[in-house]
Amino acid sequence: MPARAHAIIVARSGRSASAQLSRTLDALGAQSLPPAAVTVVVLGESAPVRALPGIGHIVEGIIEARPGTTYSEAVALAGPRIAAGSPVWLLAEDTAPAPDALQLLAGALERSPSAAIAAPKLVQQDDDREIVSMGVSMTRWGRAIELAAGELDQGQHDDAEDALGADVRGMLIRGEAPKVLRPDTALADADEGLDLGVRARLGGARLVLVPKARLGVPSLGSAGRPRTVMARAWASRRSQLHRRLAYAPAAAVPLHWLSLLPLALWRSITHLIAKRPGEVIPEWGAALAGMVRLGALARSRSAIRSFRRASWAEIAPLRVSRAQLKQRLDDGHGTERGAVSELNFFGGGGAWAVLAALVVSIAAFASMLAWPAIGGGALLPLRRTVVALWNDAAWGLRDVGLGVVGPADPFAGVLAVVGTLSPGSPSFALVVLWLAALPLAVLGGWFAATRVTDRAGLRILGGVLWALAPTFLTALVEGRPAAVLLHLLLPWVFHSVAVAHRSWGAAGAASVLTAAALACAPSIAPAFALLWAVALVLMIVTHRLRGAVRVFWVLIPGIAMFGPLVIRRLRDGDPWALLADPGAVLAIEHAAARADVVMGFPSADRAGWSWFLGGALAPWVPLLLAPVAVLALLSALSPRWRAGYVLLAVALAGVVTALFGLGVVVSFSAGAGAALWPGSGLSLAWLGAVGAALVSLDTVVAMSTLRTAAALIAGVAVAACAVPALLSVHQDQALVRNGPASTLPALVAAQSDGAVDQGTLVLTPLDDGSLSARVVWGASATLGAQSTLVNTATRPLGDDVATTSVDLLSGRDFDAAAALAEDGISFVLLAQTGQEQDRARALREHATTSIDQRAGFVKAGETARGMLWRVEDRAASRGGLTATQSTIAAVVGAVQLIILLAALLLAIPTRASRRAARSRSRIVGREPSEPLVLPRRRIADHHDEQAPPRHVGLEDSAGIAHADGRESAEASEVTP
Amino acid sequence: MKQRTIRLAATGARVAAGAVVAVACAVGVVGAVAAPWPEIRTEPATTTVTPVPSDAVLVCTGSFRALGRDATQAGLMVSAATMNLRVDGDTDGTQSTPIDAPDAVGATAAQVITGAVEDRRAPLFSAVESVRLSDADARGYAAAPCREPSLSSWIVGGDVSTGASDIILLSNPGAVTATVDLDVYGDSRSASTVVVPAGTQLGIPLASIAAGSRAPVVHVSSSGAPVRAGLQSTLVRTLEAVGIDLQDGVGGAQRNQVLLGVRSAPATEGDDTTGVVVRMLAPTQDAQTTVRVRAAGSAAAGDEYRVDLTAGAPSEISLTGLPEGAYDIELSATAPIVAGARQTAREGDRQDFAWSLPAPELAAHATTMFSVPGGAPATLYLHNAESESVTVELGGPTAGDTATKTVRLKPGGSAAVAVGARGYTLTPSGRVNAAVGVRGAGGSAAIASWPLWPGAATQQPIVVRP
Repeated sequence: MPARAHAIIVARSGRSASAQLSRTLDALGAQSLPPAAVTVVVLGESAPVRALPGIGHIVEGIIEARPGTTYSEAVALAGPRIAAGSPVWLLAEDTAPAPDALQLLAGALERSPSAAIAAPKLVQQDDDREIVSMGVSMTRWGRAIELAAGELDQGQHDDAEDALGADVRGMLIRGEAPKVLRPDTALADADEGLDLGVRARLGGARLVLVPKARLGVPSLGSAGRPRTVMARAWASRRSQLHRRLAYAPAAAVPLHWLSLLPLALWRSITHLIAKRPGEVIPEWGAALAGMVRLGALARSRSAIRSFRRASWAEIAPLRVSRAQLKQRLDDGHGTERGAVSELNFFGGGGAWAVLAALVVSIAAFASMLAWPAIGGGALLPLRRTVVALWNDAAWGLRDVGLGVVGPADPFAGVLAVVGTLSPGSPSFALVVLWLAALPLAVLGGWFAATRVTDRAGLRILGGVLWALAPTFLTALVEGRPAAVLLHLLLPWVFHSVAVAHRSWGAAGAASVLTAAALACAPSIAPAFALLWAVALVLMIVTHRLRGAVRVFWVLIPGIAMFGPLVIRRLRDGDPWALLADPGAVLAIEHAAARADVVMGFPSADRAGWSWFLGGALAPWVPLLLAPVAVLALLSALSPRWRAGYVLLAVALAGVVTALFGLGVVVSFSAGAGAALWPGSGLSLAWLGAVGAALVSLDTVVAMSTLRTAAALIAGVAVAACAVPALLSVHQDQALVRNGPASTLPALVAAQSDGAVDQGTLVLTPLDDGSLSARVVWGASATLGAQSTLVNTATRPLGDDVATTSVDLLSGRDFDAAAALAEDGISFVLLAQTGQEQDRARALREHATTSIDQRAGFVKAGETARGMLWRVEDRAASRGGLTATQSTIAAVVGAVQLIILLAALLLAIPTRASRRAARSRSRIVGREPSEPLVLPRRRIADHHDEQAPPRHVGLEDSAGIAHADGRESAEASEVTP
Repeated sequence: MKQRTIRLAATGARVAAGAVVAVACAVGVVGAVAAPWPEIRTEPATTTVTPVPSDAVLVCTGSFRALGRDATQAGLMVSAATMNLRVDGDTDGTQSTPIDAPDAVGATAAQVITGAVEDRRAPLFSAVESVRLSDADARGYAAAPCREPSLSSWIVGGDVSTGASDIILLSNPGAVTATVDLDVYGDSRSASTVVVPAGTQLGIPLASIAAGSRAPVVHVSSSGAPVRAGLQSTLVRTLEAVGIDLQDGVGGAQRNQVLLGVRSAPATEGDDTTGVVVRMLAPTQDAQTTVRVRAAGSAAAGDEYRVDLTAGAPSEISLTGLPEGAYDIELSATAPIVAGARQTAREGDRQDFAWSLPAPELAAHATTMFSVPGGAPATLYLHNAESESVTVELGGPTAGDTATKTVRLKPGGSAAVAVGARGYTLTPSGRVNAAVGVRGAGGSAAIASWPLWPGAATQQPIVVRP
């Protein structure tokens, strides 16, 4: 008879854990071969355990440990209490052994003298047919692999005896085994059993599996088993890295050590692509811990060395081979239970709608086909090189003004992406953008509509309504690049945000698109943040935390992009300036009235109707948008009322944003203020309105002829509304025009050749007798170089150029050329306003005479843009950033890049994520009570699959379960 | 059955709630139009820099020239008279230098008055010239202030009809040669170039460059050095001299102009060539111009005329039927224009004429100095360009002068103030236009008129915008 075992129970503190412990103790008491002694190690407060009735009779000692103690450390704490030569049985508070478990384990050790460790079969506590763990092995690279976890126990593994390792819970360690054969305290709550098995093998012994001995464990929890995803990831990675370093040959340890960080980076990328963002931080934590905790590593290595007798080669056959691994990798094929929602972009006519929009676009903007660059309105050329484009998007020296250092507008990043698409001539990308705007809008609208309806016709209607929005056409005609890009991005934002709670892939895409959309129109950020916060609260209240975390991520890249700007503005005490529209400021004389804005028109000319019809009929034009508005309001009454409410809320948020923006004047161009562009808010409102109208058409209108008629009326009315805007380029009523390649004279453009270190001082006398003095760097003022820092400045920014400018025109006797050259300015351009008045002219003439008389200025002549002088002195190079500023630039750049990259990696679709997306309805917010629409030709094929997966409707609704009989009753109403 | 009832109730509740929400949305949006929304408005960054003023330079005309007194040399110009020069203000700091007029026989040198900057201050002074002729070929009164030279100006009131002998006077006070381009807008376009040497005054007969045009307008643009361009006119009608005039250049085309104190003296008999004639030119773009005429000193609406102008073609309208009196003429056009108005004084059988030019805007709180010549009673016409009341302070030429007078102008209103032959300073509290009109009384037909031009642009602090 061998010595009787000493059981060590590691228990969590707390009431429920105590109750479980009590059951475990009962099971111990019921053992056919009871343990000689039981020691309980409580992680945390031990009072509840001590209070258990009768515990003193069973337990030999209770040890109180800190709550964060790992399993192996807890076992080590109990070590001194174990009698020499006594076998050790490792248990946790919720492992309930079967009555014969200990007897079988001890018997197995007795039968096979070579075995140092016996491990039982762990089964589900509440369902003992499911195996939780039965043997663990590892790959060639040390990753732990469960051999039978999750399988149904049909006795298929009952003949297994040899395994490399096993779960540490329930292990019985032979009493004669050396003292070092105990769980390695350096391991972080994972792989202790595997490590024990490996070390036993190296010591010439082995681990036997005893399938007949059964231990019931809960699927989650247990002392020393991490509960959260992140903690599990940390524990398993930390343990894996520790084992790698501990097992490696001494010579290879430094190499492994060096590889930790690169590997962490690589694995972080793969985690993100595999949509497991929660494992990224544990990955780095584990790598850093592995690098730092060299003492523990040394102890583990010496422990292995102290009793190692066998070679690593002996372990090799027990590892999991690649072939086995492949067999086990089930990629989930077929889990979508038949394709529920094919996209049908081509079959449903979406492609034809896009093509038709391209034809309309080319017809409407035919002259643009010959334009090398586009100008007018708020359009400016882009940089000439891709590098310069991206430089504008980074924190640092701004290329307007003199020595203005600060954060870039995130919009510069969007422009950099657009410009990079045409690397040879970035400015041409804007021409292409204008030509492709209509088809792209149809495409976006079509995809957004897939979140609302499965009907092909309604999806096309969605695309058409989106592309012909009055606010979009006005932005195109007035040359507002930020508003155009916003309108192109918004449907994609909707398409991805609507399902952001479903998957990390969608959340990643939504976050990038949201950041881009906010970059185009910071003024809609409050509306976005409000909707976001409401969604988050609703999800948290309804306990959909995983979805809430994904939705939380949606705004993170946007916050990262705007962070530096926000900090700067708050420090300047200028928070309203954050709302300013990015890009060039277009100050228009006649802004839209509130009534125009509420009716969907962002400008006073009502999308061109003022010149098209004249004053008498133009006020009636908004009636053309009435059908869409009525349909949108109807959505609140629809069976899919939740979606209707949400979309109406979006529309209201947009209208409020637009109305509020009319009163916010924070951007200035030569002293003239420009209110926020109401079109951005209207784009958001249009999104809500069109979406709600589609909801109505999809659900309220039951008769198909009525639906078709309503859809046609809405579509034709909006199309009619678009006519003047589409004609305006032909009728020469548009602000966009064949743009100049540079806003500066050709001589400057030619000399600077794209370099940004050549400055031009542009002086423009204004009609009120003041003087506008701007410094333009490079060959032209460019869209990306514009900075809201400068456009919204309420006090002078950067180095003073005003005094030099005025002195230049005044009678002051000084070396003006040297002063300008010192600032890096090589040219002085004296421009004139469009329709110059007396005082501006007087100042300009005076300036011309005055500069002419100064030494050091070579008159380059009268150009189309004004009088140009070249500064004779060689311009000094521009001042760079200070050390602090360089550090800030690097940190800001790195953080933004990392967050964006993470979002992009999350957004990359994988086979699994695509399959998961396909397996669920594309429509969001469908109510269980509404009739189901199936693509016609599929009904015959999938007659048996008509009923949708029940959880679809439940999860997507606002979280209130409708698990009553209605659902199936409604589903059966569908007539094949 | 029970399930059905529940379903119906649920649907009913849904529709009712939906209707409430829909109506609330609609009402909310309509209400939002009328609701008081917050206004957030920041002030743009500006830097105000006080410039170091440069020397003030005033160029005078010198002699009044007569053309064609020598029958053998039709183009020969001789001096008909030397003008009376009056200089007011801070004359201690000024210095007069003569410039040659080599092409006029017997001409006295024109004076260039320079006020050197001292202690970052330019001296404040003004000068005016006047002349009265009663020769057989030139009779009448003319007066004009001495002015700064400029790079570009428009001569609006030229005449090349029979009996008119108009001479463009180009004075280059600088130290380098100026190349002056003369672009003539008339029945046909023509251009010529004149080189004006440093320190020289040249006279160019208008007939030599604008022959045959009914209403020539000349754009004078100089390169190399700024010049002062002016026009002196002499008109003889059927052997009777009917007036002389000295006229300055207009700075440039703009959309809104105002002509102040234009006198109307309707003929009582015979053909009427003496009414007010407004000449306009839209140099670059077609323009629709609205001409509003109202009595000087009153804000009451007067007559209104609409004129369509073709780009590059001068056009004249005659404001017939105006009773005797002084009028303000406001011009507003859809594209920039230049304009002037011809006015006539009649006294018995004697006549004199003068061109009135648009009065530029004088900045608020900026002091402008002007001199009033002797020889005939003068009136200062003021016009308020602001939409609020403005007070104008009229002061004496020296700081200690107590003869100050305050004129209050209603929004958009105008006023006429009698002024004596001396120097004045004018300081408005808002933007105003001002002009001086001289009109002989008591048997002498004499008329002259000129607007007040602001001083050099760099005498005031300049607001610089980024």
